[in-house]
Amino acid sequence: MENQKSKNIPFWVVTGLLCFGMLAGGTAQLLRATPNVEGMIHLGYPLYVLTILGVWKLLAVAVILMPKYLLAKEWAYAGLFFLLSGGVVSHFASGDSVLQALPVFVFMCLTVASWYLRPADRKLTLIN
Amino acid sequence: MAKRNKIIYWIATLWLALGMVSTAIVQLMQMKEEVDNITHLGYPIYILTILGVWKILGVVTVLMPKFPLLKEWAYSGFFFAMSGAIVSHLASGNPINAVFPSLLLLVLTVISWYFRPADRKFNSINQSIKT
Repeated sequence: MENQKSKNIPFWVVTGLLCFGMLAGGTAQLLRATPNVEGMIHLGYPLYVLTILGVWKLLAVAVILMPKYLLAKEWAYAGLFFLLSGGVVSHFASGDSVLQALPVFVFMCLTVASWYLRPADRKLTLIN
Repeated sequence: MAKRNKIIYWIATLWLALGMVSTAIVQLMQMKEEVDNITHLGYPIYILTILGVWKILGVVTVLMPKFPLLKEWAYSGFFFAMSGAIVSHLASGNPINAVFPSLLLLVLTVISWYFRPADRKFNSINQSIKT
């Protein structure tokens, strides 16, 4: 049991960072903070996308942090992956440098790492 | 009952696949109507490529046998993309009938997901212990 718990430490470190980032980013998007607004305009997206992304990010954090609801967790991870990988592609498609795409890329990697490291009680397992 | 559900699943799934593939193709080809449509919603044109690629991958994942976890990711992608499209139409002040194609694909996504047969569904160990 002790061993099981210590194995979960990397998961919680990665998941903590991911959730903190999504919470901060989602809140800033919902409040339409100036850097977020300017960033969206630069990428060529409409501003109402900030509201859509902000709402989904906050919901994803809630689903990932709470216990149980394993299927909803998969949907949350998938949603974050599509959102953040789309963000990386959007930066490159807008002619941004690697450095500008880096923050989104890091959060995409944290999403994959959190998903990969999720402990057994947060994982769907096939019976057949 | 089981047979009826299977028929519902396959009608919804094939219809969904057809709708996703056909819209993906016109988006990847950047046909004028699609470009005008996405520009009107305020999105950059390169998003047509992102959506088109994911739609094709989603259809392949949903249609092929096995890989139930990947199927959940595909269904979630369809759900987020189509619900996002509906919100975008409404946020852009489009008339309500502009929402119809995305709404149809959203409904087909939900029906296909809900009626997916057991061998295409994830049954968690936790659930099986309870029952």
